[in-house]
Amino acid sequence: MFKFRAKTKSNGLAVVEADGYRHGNTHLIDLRGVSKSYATAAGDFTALRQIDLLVDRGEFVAVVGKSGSGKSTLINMITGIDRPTAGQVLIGDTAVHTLSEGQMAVWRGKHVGVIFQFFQLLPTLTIIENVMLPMDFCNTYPARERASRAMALLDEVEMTEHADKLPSAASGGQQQRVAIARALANDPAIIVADEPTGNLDSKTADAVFQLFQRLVDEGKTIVMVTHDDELAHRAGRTVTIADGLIVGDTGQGNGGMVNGEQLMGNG
Amino acid sequence: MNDRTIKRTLLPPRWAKVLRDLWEHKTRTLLVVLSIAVGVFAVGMIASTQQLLSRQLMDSYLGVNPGNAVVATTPFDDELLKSVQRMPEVEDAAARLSVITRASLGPGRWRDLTLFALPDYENIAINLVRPESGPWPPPRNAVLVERNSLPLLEAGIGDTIVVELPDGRQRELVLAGTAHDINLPPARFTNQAFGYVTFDTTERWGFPRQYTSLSITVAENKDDAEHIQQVTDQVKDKLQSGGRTVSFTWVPTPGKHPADEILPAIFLLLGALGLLSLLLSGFLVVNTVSAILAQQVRQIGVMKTVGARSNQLIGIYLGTVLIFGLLSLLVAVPLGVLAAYAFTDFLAQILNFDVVYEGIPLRALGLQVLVGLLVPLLAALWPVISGARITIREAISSYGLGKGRFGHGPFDHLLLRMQRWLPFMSRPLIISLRNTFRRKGRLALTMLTLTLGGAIFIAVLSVQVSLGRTLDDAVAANNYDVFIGFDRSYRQDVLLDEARMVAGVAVVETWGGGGVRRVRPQGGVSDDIRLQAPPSDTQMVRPTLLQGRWLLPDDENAVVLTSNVLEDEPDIALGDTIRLRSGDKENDWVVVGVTQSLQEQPTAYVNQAHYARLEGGAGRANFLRVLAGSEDPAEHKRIAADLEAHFEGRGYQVGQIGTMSENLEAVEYQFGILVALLLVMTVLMALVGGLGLMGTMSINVIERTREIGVMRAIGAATGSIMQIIVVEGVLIGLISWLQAALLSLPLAKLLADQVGNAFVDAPLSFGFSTAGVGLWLGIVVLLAAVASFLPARTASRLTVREVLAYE
Repeated sequence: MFKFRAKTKSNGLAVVEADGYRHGNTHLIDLRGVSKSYATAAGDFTALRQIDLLVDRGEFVAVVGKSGSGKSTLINMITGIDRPTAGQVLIGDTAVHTLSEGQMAVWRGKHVGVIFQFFQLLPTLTIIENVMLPMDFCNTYPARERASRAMALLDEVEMTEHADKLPSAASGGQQQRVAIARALANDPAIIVADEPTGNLDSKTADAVFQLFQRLVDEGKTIVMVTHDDELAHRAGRTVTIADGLIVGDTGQGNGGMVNGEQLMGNG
Repeated sequence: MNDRTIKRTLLPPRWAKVLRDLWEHKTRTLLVVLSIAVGVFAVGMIASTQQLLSRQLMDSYLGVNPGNAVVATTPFDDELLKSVQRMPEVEDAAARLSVITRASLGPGRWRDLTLFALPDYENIAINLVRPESGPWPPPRNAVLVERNSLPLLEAGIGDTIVVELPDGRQRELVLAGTAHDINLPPARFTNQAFGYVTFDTTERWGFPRQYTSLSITVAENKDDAEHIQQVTDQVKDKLQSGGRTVSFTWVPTPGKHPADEILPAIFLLLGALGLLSLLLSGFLVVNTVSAILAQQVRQIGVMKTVGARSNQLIGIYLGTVLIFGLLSLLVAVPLGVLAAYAFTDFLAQILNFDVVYEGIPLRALGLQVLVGLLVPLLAALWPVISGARITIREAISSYGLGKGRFGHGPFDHLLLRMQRWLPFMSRPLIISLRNTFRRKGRLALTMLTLTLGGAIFIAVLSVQVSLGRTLDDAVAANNYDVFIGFDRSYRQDVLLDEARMVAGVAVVETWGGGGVRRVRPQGGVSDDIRLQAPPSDTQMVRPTLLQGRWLLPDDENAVVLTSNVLEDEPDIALGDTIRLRSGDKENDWVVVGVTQSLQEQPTAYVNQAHYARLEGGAGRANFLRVLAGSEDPAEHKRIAADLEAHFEGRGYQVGQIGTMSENLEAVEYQFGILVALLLVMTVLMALVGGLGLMGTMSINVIERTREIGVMRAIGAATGSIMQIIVVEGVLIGLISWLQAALLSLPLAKLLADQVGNAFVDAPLSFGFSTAGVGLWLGIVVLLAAVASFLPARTASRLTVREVLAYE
């Protein structure tokens, strides 16, 4: 276990000093005892229960589980889209759970690239403008360099010829490639993808997966929620969630836990 | 699929998004821009007109070196004029002769025409008169008519007109041209014409080369009305010590054209309505911005995910609103300036001065820019801030059919139960009814816009009705058709007998009267007050009482004042004893009542018998009031002419004669202008209301596009979908109409009181426009039907695939 010594720095961020990252965490992603409950009309609903998860730099993690198992809530903790009711979320040098909304937005824009199932490109921006948008918001690259960087990213996903078209002119697979380019705009260390191939045919899904693998090879860390067993298998590590608990993890000693296939009824 | 290539811009992506979003939803953008533009236009037009008019009116007025005071007297000569000019308190004095004539407009038709003879047309020192057309000065036996009164004479330049002199002699005058005198009251307001002749002409008519009115400028403290009054009193004393009788003095508000008394009230009223319409367009901005944010909630989530901070998003959406404002300025500013020029020309023509346009009115322009940008921004602030603060989780997880909370609260339950009570209601009607109350916040703002717009519409029409009723009351209050004033008093029984000899005279009364002034307790005297002394059993005057009571037969020193006396002498209250000076005599009177009056001149009513005793002329009178057997104004004019001929034929000295209908014509004309201006503002208000409803309906339909797709997918026909949407619109219209009708009653009363206080010194005789209520019902239903039909048609044309396509 790590030794924690919490203190507050002048910028107001809670910082944890330890042997690895600034907060004492040794892994890029370190979730410690994370729980999340929601108040609903039918009473409190617990989406995550005391989750511990460590993901190292350069890992490709697939998160699997049934609908409502807590997959999306888990990755929302990593992206800072949602906050834990209890526990700590340490990403690199940042104690994400302590950030304000404004700090969170800037941090996320710079450090995490998010990819959605339905691509979520802004319909009135061209493809290149969609890719430039994160740089615009986070002011990460000089304004005159943004277009060329966006073109370079589009080149990586083979979408340069569509750069000046609206997203509606692109197919689903093409849109997802643009969404990946957008996720890479600020050169984040982590890519989080929520069912990125869920809306694509198998051939296109395979192409997207290959793109992910290339990114991992280049040193990016990818956490991907998926329903696709085959894709999950191809990822380096599979984390299985059921009822808000991690019930399987191929990257950790999983003891007597069921594996993902058993849980999803496929095995 | 739209595979069109879009030209790359240098704009940062977020601003490119703002511009494309506006372009993408052209109709919505247009509606919001037009709605703001209407309000900005109204405010701009009023503010620009006010700026153009007041500056130019002031310049034109001061340009003629207006007199500080006017004194009217019995004739005096150059000697007396020079002695006034020599007074140290007087800077300069100018005199003129006024001859009250009437010009023939045709057989039996006359128009009052006051002719002025000036001693030297080349050197007019005070109250400059400027040549307009024709020879200057006017040749002998020729008249230069004041340009504003030319239409009243129904003659053209070069024509010969017949004028009747005070003694009844008729003379011909060539209408040689026109002159401009900004000092005269607007001809259409007084129904009286003015003209300029030379002393050569008046001498030929037998008038000595003498003057009857004197204008002075004071040497010091030209802005001090009290000082001017003191100097005027000194001048008056000088004239009286020189053996002249001063009939009246008048001290206009220093440095202000007389119209400046009423213009601020007009501008205030119109400006308030303009601002209100801008406020209403603010409600549409709130609705539209809320809808944009609701529609883009997922985009907001995505933008936040890729690093946008709430402040940046607030900037994006306020930027959108700023563009709405800027676009509306593009429409409203040029139109506002053009309308202001037209409006200024219109008012300048009525007030009789020339407008010289030098550039655009910058101060008003600044105001337009300020309100055009600030009002929408302020309106949008709350929806934008709350919309931009939504968390990503909420934003991303929002999905499904339509928004809005229906089914919560007692009202929704009532609607749900209605179906049980009213089983004949069709399913589409039930959907319309429930849809109406789904977005309660938006509904409230739309309703507020329509309700206020409607209430003001009805209120303005009620002001029109009230103005009409006030006129009717004035007619009823002055229950006579013809009035005659004699230059001296005659025995009452003789006057009555003579009058009854004229055909058409049904009832006749003799009245006493004259000019009086209030002797103020703190020193000084008031302006002239007309004193009228009807018989105690008079049938000819039934004024609308505002306070106290009318004269009783036994009253002796009781006086009833018209409301405009109190306007000039605000310290007088009901029950007070006031001192009135008539000639050399001063008498105390107790104020027992205050009446409404449209007559320009402040009036005091007292009992005839008591007045005659005080004046030492019991049984004598100098006025006749005649009620004709017919209600035809032409017949009244005929009777007036016959009465005049009858009395003059028998050697009576008739001083003035006229008919009530002629007097009212001028008031009707003034009221007509006011109503026309109010109606313009009403139309703008209806326009804003309509645009608001149209905006809301388009937003509702756009927001429910997917829902419409689902309905189509399960078999809803085009007609059913259109019916659902149109009925919802009409329902909103009907509810707002009901509210508007209720609200309009107190609003109309308030507006009528304010208009009355501003224009006739007393609240108007209130009348509510039920026709206005009906008219607004028609308008609002039509507006609602059209406003919802257009988006309904668009919605019904969408294919299921289009509407169900995700994002």
